[in-house]
Amino acid sequence: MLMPLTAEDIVVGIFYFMKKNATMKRVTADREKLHRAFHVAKIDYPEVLSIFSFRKREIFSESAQLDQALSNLDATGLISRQNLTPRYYCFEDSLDRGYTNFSKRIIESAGIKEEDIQKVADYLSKQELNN
Amino acid sequence: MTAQNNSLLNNFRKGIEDFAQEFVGNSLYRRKFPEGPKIIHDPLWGTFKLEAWEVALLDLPLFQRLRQIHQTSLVSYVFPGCSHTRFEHTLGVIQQAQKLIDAVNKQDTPDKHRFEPSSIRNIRLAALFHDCGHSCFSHISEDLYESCPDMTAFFKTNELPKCHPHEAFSALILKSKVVRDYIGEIEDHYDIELDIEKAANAIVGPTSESEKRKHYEIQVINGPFDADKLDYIFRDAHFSGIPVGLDLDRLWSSCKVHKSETGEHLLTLHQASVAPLEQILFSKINLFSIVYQHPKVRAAEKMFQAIIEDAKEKPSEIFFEISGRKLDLNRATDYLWLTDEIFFSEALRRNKEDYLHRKIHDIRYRRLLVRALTINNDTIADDSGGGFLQLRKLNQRGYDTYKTRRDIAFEILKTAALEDKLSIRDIWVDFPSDPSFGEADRTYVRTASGKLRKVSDLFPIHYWTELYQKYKWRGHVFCPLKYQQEIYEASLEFFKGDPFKLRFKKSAGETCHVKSPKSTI
Repeated sequence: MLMPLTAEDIVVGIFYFMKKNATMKRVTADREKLHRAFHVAKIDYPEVLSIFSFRKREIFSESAQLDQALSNLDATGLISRQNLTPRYYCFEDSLDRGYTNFSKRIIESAGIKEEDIQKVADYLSKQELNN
Repeated sequence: MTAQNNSLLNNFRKGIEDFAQEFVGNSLYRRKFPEGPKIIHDPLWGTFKLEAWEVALLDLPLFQRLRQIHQTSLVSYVFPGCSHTRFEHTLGVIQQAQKLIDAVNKQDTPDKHRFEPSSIRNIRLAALFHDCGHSCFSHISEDLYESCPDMTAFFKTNELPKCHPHEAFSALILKSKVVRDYIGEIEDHYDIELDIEKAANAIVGPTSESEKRKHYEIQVINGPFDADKLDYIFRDAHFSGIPVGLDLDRLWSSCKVHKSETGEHLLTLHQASVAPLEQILFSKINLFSIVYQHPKVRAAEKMFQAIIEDAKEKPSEIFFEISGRKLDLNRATDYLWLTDEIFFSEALRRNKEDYLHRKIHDIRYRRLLVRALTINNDTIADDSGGGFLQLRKLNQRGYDTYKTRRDIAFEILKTAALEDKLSIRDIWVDFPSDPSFGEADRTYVRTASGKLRKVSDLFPIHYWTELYQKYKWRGHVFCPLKYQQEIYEASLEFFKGDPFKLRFKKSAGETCHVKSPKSTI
């Protein structure tokens, strides 16, 4: 049974490459920063991020899919907030396994190239999301 | 745009107009316009006044039908007091909106109030209409008509900002020709002006940059601590018997309009008055965890979904009929005609041996499905990360995840080799979506230095809510009681294989009270 592509797989892929290529250990947990960054990234990478829709209710655009994905990654231990740094999500080792054993194949089956995920990860790595 | 899309859109718009014609335009139901205001007694908020023009609207079948739609779907089958309806909630939202408006106006000088009489009328109009697009059992039918082709085609037009399907219905009904004409008559009769566009925007959210200066008006209905939220949290908690402590006086006394750095005029709180907002969020968490996501409530909701699935798949046999009109539940707009009362009364139109009669009465007389497996952080093996994420991600909304949950249920049924005894409609894999807790990022507080800061900058509320979701969230497999043990064992077997490779602790069965629980670790 092949699982459908969801926002979780894309976020796992992006975080995996942020960790691997940009050697980032953590990413901000500031909702506004994250949602803004993904919203802007969607303009340049609409196909990779097409699964995220954004609702402009207030000051910044928010994505319910991104909220749910972060919550799910946190709840299943692929990322975690550390007690003394609740303002960041730390990338856990299980993130690597989550990508290589599960999300990688699903992303490829959905017709999204790994190099495109890397491009989004590179782009987001430059958005000062680790401070 | 393809011809098929065009046809879907035309039918969608016609569906809205047909509904508005019957529930607003039908002259058989028209009464004389009332000449004076009416006093309403609400068990929660006490006594308040509705203006005559509001009563003229409230008397329409469009709003009276809300008496037949429970606010909290099938929650009353678990929390017996929780049987209030969208009608009471609608009245409560009008009252809470007025309280919020009065609180802000009180902060201004007496000769120059932030909310003028005309904008107050438009906000109250929005409050009145904000839930008129709800269908049977509120949000559970919303999940079903959201994926109907006509609704999908409509959202692709971007005619409205991204919003919930029931909000889209409410705004479109308000903007329909029939309602515009009726509101025109009201304006003439009472010599008032009502801005339909503004009220519709308050329901679905801001649509243009020009609204920045008046953003606070929209926030009364659609904001971080809006009237809708204040009423539903208080009302649902009160009637479910899970009382909450909310210091609304403190919230109102500190509420003021302030200009942000980006030019928006927003409702803000004083830094010293953040506690009521934290109380709102904590109460919301409690309601989701204790009430809305109670396993028995979820089981009853799945049984309702099973009936609608049948109606969509076999429309010639399984259908709902209203005064000779057969509803087509593959069309989103037909759901507007369905209320809780019509759903249950369909059983009475059919004889006792009829399939739909039995299925509806299984809900009505509480012959509910039971849990066969609990899936959460406490019941799966500790090193399940990636596989658990693949399962948990199925709580994302949408057709693909819905279909995968149904495919998994079918695989469990096959693994149990019970295809000849049970139908796919008897097995449900349930992964509740997490509620949104974005309020902390949308609420701005005035600091001692006069600057505006987000509540989440001052205190990482999301950390707190995520922890709660991490440990309180539960997914389940539901089935009929008679086959609980077989489905439990089949579920363990199925999830052990690809693509999940999940192993479960004994507690996965113990929490469901299965006869012989076991560990697969």
